[in-house]
Amino acid sequence: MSIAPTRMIERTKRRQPAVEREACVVEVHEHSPPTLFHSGEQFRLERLPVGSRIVYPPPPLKGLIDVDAAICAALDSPLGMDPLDSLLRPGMKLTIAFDDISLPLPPMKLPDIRGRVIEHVLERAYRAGVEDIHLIAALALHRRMTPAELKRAVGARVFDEFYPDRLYNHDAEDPTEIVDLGQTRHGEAVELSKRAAESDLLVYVNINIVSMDGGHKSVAVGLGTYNSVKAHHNVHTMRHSKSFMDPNKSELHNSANRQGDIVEAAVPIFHIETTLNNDMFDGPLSFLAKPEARWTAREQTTFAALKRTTDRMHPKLRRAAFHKSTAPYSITGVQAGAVGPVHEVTLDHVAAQQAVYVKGQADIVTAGLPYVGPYNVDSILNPILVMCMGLGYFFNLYQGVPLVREGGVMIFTHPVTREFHPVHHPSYVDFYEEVLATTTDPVEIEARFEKSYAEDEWYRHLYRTSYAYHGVHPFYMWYWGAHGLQHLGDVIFVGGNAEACRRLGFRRADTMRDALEMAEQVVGRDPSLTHFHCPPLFYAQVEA
Amino acid sequence: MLALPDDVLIQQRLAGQTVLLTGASGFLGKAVLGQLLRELPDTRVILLLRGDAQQRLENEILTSGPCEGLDGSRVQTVSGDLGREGLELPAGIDVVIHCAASVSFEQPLDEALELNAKGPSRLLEAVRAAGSDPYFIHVSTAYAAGMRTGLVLEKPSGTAPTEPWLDLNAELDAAQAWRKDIEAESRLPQHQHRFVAEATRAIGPAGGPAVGTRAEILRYEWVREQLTERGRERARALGWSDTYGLSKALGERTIITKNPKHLTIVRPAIVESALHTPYAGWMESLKVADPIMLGYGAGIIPGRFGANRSIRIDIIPVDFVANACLVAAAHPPDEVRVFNVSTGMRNPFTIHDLAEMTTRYFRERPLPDEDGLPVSVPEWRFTSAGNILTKIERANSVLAKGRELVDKLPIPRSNDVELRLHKNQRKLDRLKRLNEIYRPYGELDCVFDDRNARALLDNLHPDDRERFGFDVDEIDWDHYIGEVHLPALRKIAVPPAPGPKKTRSAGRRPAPEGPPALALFDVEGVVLDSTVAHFYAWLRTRDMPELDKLVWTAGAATKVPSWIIEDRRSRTAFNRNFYKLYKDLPARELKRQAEEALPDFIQPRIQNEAVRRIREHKRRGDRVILITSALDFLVEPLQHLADEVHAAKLIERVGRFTGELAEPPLTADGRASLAARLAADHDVDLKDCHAYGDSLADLPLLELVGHPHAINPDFRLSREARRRRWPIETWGTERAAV
Amino acid sequence: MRFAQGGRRLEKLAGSNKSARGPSAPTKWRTLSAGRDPWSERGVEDQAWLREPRPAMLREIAQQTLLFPATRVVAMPTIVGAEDLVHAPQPAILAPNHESDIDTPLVLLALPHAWRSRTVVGAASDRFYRKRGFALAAGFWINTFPFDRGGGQRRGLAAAAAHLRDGRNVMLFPQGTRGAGPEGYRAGVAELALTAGVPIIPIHIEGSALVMPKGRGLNRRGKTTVTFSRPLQPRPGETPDQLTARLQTAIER
Repeated sequence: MSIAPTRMIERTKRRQPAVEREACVVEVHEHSPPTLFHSGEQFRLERLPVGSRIVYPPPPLKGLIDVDAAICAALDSPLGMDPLDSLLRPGMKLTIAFDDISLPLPPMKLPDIRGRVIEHVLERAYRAGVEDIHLIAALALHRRMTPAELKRAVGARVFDEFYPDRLYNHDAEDPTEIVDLGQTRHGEAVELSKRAAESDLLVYVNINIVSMDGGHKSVAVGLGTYNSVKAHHNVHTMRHSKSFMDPNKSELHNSANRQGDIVEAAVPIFHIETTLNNDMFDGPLSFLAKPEARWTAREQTTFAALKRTTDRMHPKLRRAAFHKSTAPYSITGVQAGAVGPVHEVTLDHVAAQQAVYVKGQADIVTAGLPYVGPYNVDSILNPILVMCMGLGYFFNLYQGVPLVREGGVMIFTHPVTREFHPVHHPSYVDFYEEVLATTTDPVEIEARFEKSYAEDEWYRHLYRTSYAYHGVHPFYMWYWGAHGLQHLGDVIFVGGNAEACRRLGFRRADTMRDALEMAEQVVGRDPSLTHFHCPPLFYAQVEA
Repeated sequence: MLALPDDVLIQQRLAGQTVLLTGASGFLGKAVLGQLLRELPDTRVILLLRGDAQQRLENEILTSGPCEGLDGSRVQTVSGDLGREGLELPAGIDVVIHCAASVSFEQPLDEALELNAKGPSRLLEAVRAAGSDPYFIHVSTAYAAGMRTGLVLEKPSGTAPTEPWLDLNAELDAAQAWRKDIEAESRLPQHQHRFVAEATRAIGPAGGPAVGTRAEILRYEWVREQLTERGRERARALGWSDTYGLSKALGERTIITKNPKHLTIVRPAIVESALHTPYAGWMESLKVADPIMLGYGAGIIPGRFGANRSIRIDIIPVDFVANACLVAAAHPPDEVRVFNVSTGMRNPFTIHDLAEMTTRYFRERPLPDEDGLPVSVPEWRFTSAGNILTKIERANSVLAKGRELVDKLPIPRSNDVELRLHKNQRKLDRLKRLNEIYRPYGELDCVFDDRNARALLDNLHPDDRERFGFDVDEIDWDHYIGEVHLPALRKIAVPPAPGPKKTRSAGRRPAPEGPPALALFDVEGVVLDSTVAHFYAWLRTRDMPELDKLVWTAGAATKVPSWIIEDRRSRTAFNRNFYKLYKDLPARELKRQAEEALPDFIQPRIQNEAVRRIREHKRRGDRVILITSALDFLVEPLQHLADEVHAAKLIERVGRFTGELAEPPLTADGRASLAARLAADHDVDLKDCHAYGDSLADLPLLELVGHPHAINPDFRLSREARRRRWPIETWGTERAAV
Repeated sequence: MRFAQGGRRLEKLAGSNKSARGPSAPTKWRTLSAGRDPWSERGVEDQAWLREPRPAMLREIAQQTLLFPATRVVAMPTIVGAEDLVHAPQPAILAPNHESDIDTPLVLLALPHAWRSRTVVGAASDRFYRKRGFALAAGFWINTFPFDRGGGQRRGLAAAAAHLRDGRNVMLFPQGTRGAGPEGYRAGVAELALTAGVPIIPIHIEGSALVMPKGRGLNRRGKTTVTFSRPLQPRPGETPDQLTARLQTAIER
């Protein structure tokens, strides 16, 4: 195998990306403007106390000019493996797996990068004379993608040619389509999709928007089943992943890596990983990523108009409008080859875009939760997903130590309405009504309820034939926040629905000032406050 | 009679004697028994009771007010029924106190005569047959004198001035003949039509057998009503206010003809709660004026009554009557003696006074209404009976028209309207009934002479005056009504305020452990919030462009009212007619489209509580069965939810639906039979099974199982459910968010 | 905590933070009617606007055209001593004996215009001021003010004192109610006279009990006599009981 030089991005930013981002950490003083907080499908302007810090996301890096060329280069000179062309032979079984709709958020503008990469791969495959090609959406226990979503992901041409018999969703509950690949040395079961396990070559097309994605997690988890996912999606593993965004220190990734080694031994995998910049807001709204103090008058007026309109809109219209928006992401890198070296480069790229160095933890961390997470694309952010978003993702967007100190308070802004999408999240309703009504302790929930939900026949049927998340999925959402639940002293939602917050076990306040007062009871007088100004996505490199 | 006080205590007078007491399970009987046990330890008591006498003595009688805490061991019991021949009594009876009677004002004449008129003589004959010739004390009623004006003398019936002659046997024969006639008439077509129409209006969609049962109940009630009315009319024609007074008068006459050794007839007026013993305010059930007072206090009858406010109303506390009986027992007379135990002569009390006191009491201490807030009572208005009747008739006709309208037109929110109409109708019926029954008492302008009773009282040994006193002069009406009687009524009528409850209510979940059973769920309205018509609309409009969809929906909307009316009438007929719409539709295409039903139609309309409940049943090990009138290919995904799904099937021919169902639609009693068959197949007891339904078409099924639940019921089903105390639950969907 | 203060323009432009439109509370809920609200003041207040000049003029016209002629027809009054009222000081308390409701119109028609236009009549608030319509009618026809008879007549007498202070004559019935008899004179009027320092004019009405007895409406026509006596000035150091006794003698003489 030849190791080709890494590609594309300016070297200067590679080594210490985080440190040079000191301009991203801003201190609030007397004359600072109010801060933008996302609150679901609305916006809030909150005043933060003088002396608090705001951590802003880094500005988006410039993307590749010629994406196709980059893809070709990556496929021709992969890292740690032979070029793709040499791996393709006529009559072989080729399976292409790709990330499902939970990435990227919000969805990319067309053409989706996955489609572009797949087209390149298919072109080479046809040239090599491969005919048995299947495309699988690697969604593990997420919901199946609708035909429209599949079309968007792989592109119209590929869709027309391959759907529905050769382009389909991974079905983790189909016993005929699963093979057991054994166990890792820690006793974790490894099961994989049969088609993927029996292929001569498995190509995985991945998008990395956070450093949690990619690597061994792509295949071992994406094409796995409940039994294999159970090994690392449990409370213990989650609590010892500090944090998800730091694969070196994450128990979750360790476990996934062990499983990935076994999978790699069974089937050759050609990983293609792409990274995006964090250019999340389209056109006239791109100022939402900028610090408020830098907004021009025009941008302030635009924001005011946006806020007033969204405040007054009918909730359903508002939700439709928000979920229709797309992000003008640019590709900042394409790597291909063996999983180890490829993922290292990917993580470098991600750090280059997203890492911000922050010195010192804070007593209180505030954040505004957006309207969309990985699990409610085109759907509703129900209370459990809100908890996952806040305590699972936003809390864990750090490397090093958490941004909030142990026993500190996190304050989120989100309406937390008790609304559930009946088609996508049926098991969440029962989780909310049955399980959360009894207890909110993740350990107890795992012990008492997880098994029955995972093996429920109705949920299984809905997962397999309809567009519903697997019955056990709400549990994983809850475990995602287990580390946060353990670490924090209190969680307060500003503007949240009282009933829903009470069910989740959190407190609520009407205004930020009330929330700060409530938080002061927990952390003491004159706390230090840091606002995590996310989205756009980034993470904090925190040093205690 | 002697006017000097005695020198012998009553206890000594009755020592060693045996008293046979009938009617000890009744109000007056219990009071007498209590006094016997408490004050006369040397007297033996024998009770005559229906049914298992000893058990009734221990469970009912000795546990209630007057006998509480007293030793019942020297009481002997005999089982027997005074309404029938063939009584057997022990020998050695010295005194018979006959309190047993039926005191209902709404009884058919033949029943009243059997018990009240023939009862005393039967009793006396049975005692004589056993060998004793006792002193007979007959408790009659002051109103056995008939509807008199002015002074009512203490003379037994038949000997007072201007009384008609009565032939007991003739009256009894006539009354029995009426029963036969009216029973026969009730089975004639014109009445049967009426009953069936009324039953259909109430529970039509529940199917044939249910309607038949209801019609039969209505017929029985009608027969009873007719007999009661005829009896009442006959009694009024003869000069008594109702069958009670007439039968008591006949009872007196009959017992006189039997010539007992000594005979005393005690005639109490209206017997109400006790004044002293066992405690002030002891009462058991509601007597004459009590329903009126309570209804007035609760605001469920308006304060209008057809009565004359200045006439006296004669109320006497029950312990006074009991004491009078026992004092009479201690002084056997030489010839027939009658006592009027009443207050009208010495301590009069008019209806106006009663009304004023009632108003005052309920203004100071109002009753809570159904929301817990105090009811504000209006002033009493006394008008003539005729006035009231016309008003009632008018209101009745308005209500009847309203109900007809609701049946014919499909109005929105019909549940609320129906509820209001129903409540008003009940109010009116209540008022009509009360007015009808108590009209004579509001016009009875007489005073009961109580000279004999007074003489008996004067006869008492001074030590006995306290124990066995019945001096009506000592009753202070303000105190009695306002502080004794009305609070006692209130205690009976108003339950004590509940203590603080926890906010999380215990759900009506099935018990975790239990024998294996079936759980039957109706799908429409219980598991899915949709109907057969929704399914159809979705199926037809699936791939229509928007404009066409609007046009088609508008066209369908015109047919909806007729569908609703037909559904109200009979779910089966509605299903059959509705499925005709599927005629000539391509079968394969529809089936293919129905494959998308799960995410597009079923999931948004699922009621999650139903899914959770199904899961619980499965956890218990029950077999979950879904019954629906929707088509089988539409509800196919639900097979993964439950163990069995019974759905409708359309006949296909040449790839097209013919619009005909393969089997009769599964509604009403069809579901009940299916449930019975399934229970038999799986060897399960229906008493353990659960059923969940939402409309009257499920009524037979719900009646069949041991654990029925009404989910989101409409008005008629909720009325049935409330009547039978079935749990009613409200389940919702998550549809609003999408 | 001190909060950042800049960016006012942005804040004003963007408006306040609105929480999500949750399920709005129902705009109407079923109102429970549980009888009259015991907390509301059961009664109508004094309709003082009926004493304004224009309504007063209307009242005078109505009285002269309708009320007084009707009263004259029914009661056939003979008036004694009204001319001496010219010499009596105003304001004063007019104190007749009370047998029937026709007493007030009788006295009013007996008064000279100078007196009548400045006279207000004390009407029992629990009788006349329960319903709005009755209050308006009484206030219009016979120029009443609500007299609270409850609680020892404190509030009523205070209201009357207020009118006296304003310079109006007050007509109060010392017996307090109709048909109390010659022994039923209460001390309230005397207390008022002593406190306010105004004279009392005793008035004796004879024969009204037959015309309009208590508890019935108009009974029959009958001759009545209204006799005005000399004003009673409260002597210094006199107790109300003594003044009441004097008043009683003066009226019943």
